[in-house]
Amino acid sequence: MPDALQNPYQALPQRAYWRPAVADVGALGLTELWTPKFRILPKDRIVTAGSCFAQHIGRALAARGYDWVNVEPAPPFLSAEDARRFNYGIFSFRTGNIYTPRMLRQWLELAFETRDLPDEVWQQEGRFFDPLRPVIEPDGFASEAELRAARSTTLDAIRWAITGADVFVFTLGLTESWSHAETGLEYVLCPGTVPGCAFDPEKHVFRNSGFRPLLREMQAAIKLMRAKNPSLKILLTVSPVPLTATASAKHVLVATTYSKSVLRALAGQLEAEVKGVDYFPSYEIITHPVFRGMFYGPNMRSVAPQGVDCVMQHFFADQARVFGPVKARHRRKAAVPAATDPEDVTCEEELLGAFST
Amino acid sequence: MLSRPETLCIFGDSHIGSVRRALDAGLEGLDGFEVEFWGAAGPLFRQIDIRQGVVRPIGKEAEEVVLRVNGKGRATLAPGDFDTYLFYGARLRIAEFMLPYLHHLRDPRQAVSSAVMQAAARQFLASCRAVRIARSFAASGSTRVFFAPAPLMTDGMTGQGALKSPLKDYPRATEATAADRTRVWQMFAQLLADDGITLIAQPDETVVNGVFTSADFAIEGAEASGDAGHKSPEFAALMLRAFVAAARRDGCKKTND
Repeated sequence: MPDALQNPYQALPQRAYWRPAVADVGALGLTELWTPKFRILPKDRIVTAGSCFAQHIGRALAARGYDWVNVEPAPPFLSAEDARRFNYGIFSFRTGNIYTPRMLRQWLELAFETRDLPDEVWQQEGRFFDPLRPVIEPDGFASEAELRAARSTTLDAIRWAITGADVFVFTLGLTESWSHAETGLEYVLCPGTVPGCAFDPEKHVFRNSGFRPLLREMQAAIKLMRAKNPSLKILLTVSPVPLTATASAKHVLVATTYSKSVLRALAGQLEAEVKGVDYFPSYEIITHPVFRGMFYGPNMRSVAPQGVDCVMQHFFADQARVFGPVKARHRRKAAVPAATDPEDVTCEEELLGAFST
Repeated sequence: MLSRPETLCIFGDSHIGSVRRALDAGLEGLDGFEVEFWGAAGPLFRQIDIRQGVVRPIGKEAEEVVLRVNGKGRATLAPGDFDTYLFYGARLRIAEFMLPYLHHLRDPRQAVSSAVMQAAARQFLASCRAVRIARSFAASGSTRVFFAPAPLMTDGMTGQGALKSPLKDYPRATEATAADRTRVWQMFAQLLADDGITLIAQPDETVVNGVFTSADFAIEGAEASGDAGHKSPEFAALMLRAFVAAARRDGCKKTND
């Protein structure tokens, strides 16, 4: 008969102990950082949204042949540079960054029509700006009708994305936000910091949300998504990118720690409580002291590509460890162009016929 | 005012064949112009390039065709060689742009802003070598430059051409109105005008089903050959009429200036 356990730590795997799991292996030798709840396969339709770090995840998944869904792709002939400038292909739909749980809920409610479209439209020098995403078009829209049509397209894309997705990856970014005092409309950026709207202290109110209200917002957002797509799996991450600025009256470093701590706790709570919700620790991989800030740029804010690579290596390695390797999915080859242009077949004849005399 | 006839070079790909046929048939005159053609068809047109401001065929085969088309021994083109250039067809396939963007203008679920459409149009033009040549000629200040893009595909013959698959992706282009098309044409006209080039848009009376050229203007035998791209001399005559009107307007403007 085996010896009875003398304490509960005895049977724990090595990853539960700091010395073998961290101190002995060092930052680049870490393994088993994540024990995923559910398998993510290349064939799964993956939707990404959230803070700016989410765009790296979408791109990395697509590069590995995973089915990252781009519901609102750039229209033809737009250069890659222009597509980026107009915020195409950054997230699965063209919302721009969604920093807070409340902003996520707001977009979902607008998309699924449980909230009325806001009347508020910003205007400056004859150009129109969407308060929900004021920098989506760098120079604003030509008219209010054009703004509303573009927003309607994005809301439609959200509906398609959420109802058709297998996995929704959401990166939590901020606890701080600005909203309209009367309508409650939450802005993605503080009015006055972007074109289209002057800051008005009477109208524009600051909020630095705590754990409980954020939890309620996320629960409501998840409930809404699951009402439309009951089998939707949700993978949460926390952006490792520090705040650019804080309006909390605290030092920005202290405010960053508060914001990220609350969001990290929120992700942990949801992972623990809600079925089909998981947390992937990209935040720890970039920010933890073990990594000594090696993945940050000189400004200690931007995340270097090596950091994203490291994050994604852990992602794929832990998926494979828990669920087994996945077969490499060959991306469908683009149709092989015809050896000759269809028009070319007849055009020599056409030209030379006309000039034969 | 010029005391001699204005020299005009009609420069392009296989589409200039219909222009030649229209002139030969007397469907439209180019009174006051002394006309030369210059160009080559499809694959050989791609062997025409501009170097140090001079356009020349790269390769023997292309040169032979260019000389045959020109008929006057002119192997190269420089901006000052002619008073006026009309780029005709010249691989600027406007249908490839019209189809998706007319669809976007019609489909509220796929709206694009005018700024996005303009950025795409700018890129579309930049990707066309003949547009780059036209820009270079116009920038020289020594000639007038007009550009008539390749016409929209012929109605009913899309199954044979390059537009088969895109039509599946952009079905609502067929609902486009004259106002939609005018909006796109005006955008191109402005972009080219910024470079000193006058656009000759396809006359709207030749357009059917939103984004196609009426089968009335199909090239002879198109049904049998499946040629959706080339058009009849009658179509070219309409284009020439539009060019002459634009050239006159431009001449008046210059005189008034």
